[in-house]
Amino acid sequence: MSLSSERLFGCVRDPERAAALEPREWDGLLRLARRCALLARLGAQIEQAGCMDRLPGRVRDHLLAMAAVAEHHQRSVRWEVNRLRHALRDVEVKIVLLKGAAYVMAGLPVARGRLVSDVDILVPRATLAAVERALLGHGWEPLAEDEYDDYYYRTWMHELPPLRHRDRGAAIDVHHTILPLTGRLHPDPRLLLDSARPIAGTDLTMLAPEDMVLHAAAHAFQDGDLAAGLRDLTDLDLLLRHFAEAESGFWERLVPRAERLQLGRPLYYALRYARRLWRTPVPERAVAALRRARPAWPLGRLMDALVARALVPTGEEGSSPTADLARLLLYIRSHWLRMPPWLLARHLGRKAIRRCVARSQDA
Amino acid sequence: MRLSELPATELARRLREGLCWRVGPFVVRLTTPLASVARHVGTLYADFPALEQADVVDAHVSVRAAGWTRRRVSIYSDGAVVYRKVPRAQAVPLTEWTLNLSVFHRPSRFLLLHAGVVEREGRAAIFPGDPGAGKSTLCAALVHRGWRLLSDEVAPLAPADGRIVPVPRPISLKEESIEAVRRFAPHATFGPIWPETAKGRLAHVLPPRESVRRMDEPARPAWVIFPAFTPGAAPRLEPFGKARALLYCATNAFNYDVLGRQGFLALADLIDRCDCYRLSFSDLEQAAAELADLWASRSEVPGP
Repeated sequence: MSLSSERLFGCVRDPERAAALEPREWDGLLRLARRCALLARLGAQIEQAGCMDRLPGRVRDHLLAMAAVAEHHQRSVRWEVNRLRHALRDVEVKIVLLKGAAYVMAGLPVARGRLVSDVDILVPRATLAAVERALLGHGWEPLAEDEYDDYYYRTWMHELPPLRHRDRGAAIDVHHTILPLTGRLHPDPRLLLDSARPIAGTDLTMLAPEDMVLHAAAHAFQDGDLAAGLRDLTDLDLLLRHFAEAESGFWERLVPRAERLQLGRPLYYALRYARRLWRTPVPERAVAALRRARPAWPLGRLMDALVARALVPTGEEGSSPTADLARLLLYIRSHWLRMPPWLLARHLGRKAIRRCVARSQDA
Repeated sequence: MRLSELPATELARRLREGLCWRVGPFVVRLTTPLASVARHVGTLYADFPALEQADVVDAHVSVRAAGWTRRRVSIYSDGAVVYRKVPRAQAVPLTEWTLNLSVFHRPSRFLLLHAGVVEREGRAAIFPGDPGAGKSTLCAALVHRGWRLLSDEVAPLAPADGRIVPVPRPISLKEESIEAVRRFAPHATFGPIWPETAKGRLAHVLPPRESVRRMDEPARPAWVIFPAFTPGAAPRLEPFGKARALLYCATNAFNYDVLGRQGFLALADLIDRCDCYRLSFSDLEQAAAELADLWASRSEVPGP
């Protein structure tokens, strides 16, 4: 890990450290934080700790400017959620907000300095058609490029083809479960829906604390290539710290719930890397309880190596042959986990043909 | 030390290692081995202060040879690629554009209006406008007739005091406006003409030395003037409704929505305090004369 990245992690964990930095140490730090999409989070941590006034003026300008962006995102998300409720007012459905939108609407500590671009919701699969119809009737339009994309989402994915509002440009993802249907793991969405909790002051709901953590873990380690890995891991860190304090018996419930939802492995990785990068306090008994979810050691070692190299940008241009290779392997892994090989081959083949056709049409 | 005080070889050496200079409140650092970019910097940033060492750099831009024949270049901003393997002949205009993006298209505490700004004796004229409306051309002309250049492209408005902060960068002119400004101000220093950029034929004009020397002096806006370059039109300065002016500036600003309430208040205050006009023109001499008259008819002493 480079000096700058060690400094970045240190300052996000302990904002007092940020106040003690020399002005020239800030330059690399600001750049790295921006590259890792952590600048807003860094600023929020510093603000929260009351250290903002002790920073050099030019550094403060950068952090406050980024804080305004995060505020703008959150303002937009609140309005999008308002419009969403308006559009769905006649549909008999319980809406569960996921990820950023839930953090913001529930005012969780993880919302501080969190950038949120899309609104994600979870609804029972049986209501998908009604929800989609209502959204299409209120100005949202499909983003899908063609019929194949549409088919891909509807047949294999855990969500409808993404919708975008024609006037506001805001995107919404309507999920009926939290992992692709074609993947290896199949957390039962009914369990998630049944345990959803009301968000105070609204008629909306969010996942239960354990489920919220498990969804974040599944999103980072089962459904994605860790392209936003550091951001996802700080979310996990802040969620875990908050729930450990606010919810009695949280840790006791977390691991059994993970097993019930088939999410032991993603949780294992989430806890492992959150501890490594963000020093998240995780009780030993939780680690021990997850022993069964551990990958076989060669796989675990490989994952450690890939995560360490892929997550932190290195070098002037943010890439190095090893980091690029690690990212490529994680990208392949994400597809491997997403669908069985025959389906993957068919999907990639389709995409390749489409690219060729598009290119010959351009020419 | 000014960039012009560096011998060409020293400038090239520093650029290879990363040269920092300041444009108004922004510090940029450019790293490149390319001679064409070094010549551009040496000419068009001649009067800017080179920084021996900068604590916090606002934009790290690097331009590097790319492709297996090294005949192409890639341009990076803060380590992220902005242009990948573009032809070498495009290196200078695209570097200039990347510097623009790196400084202006990122989170800012200023309200960034899409406008040119010039100033004379404490009163600034803001020229908002769509591409092609003539804001850069007008700025390039006026700064050779006694006005100070604050910016030809982006007007950073400080919400705290309502003043415009100068960012006097090289003015980029397109197509016929290159010749129009050359005829109007034969003494203006131009960089080379770049014939085939994405925006057509393009050339940069050196900002006047006095404007660069005074780049730490913000200015209080007195006028918001919407230029409308109209071929063959007689010059005409007519009042422009304030509500429309506010809406137009808001829609075209780079970060109006991001600043939320603060952005609205800053802009409303600006429009309240300024006289708003629309200026149709085709000839630069006549346009400059109209604005000189406007300046001469100023009513009261500007605030601090």
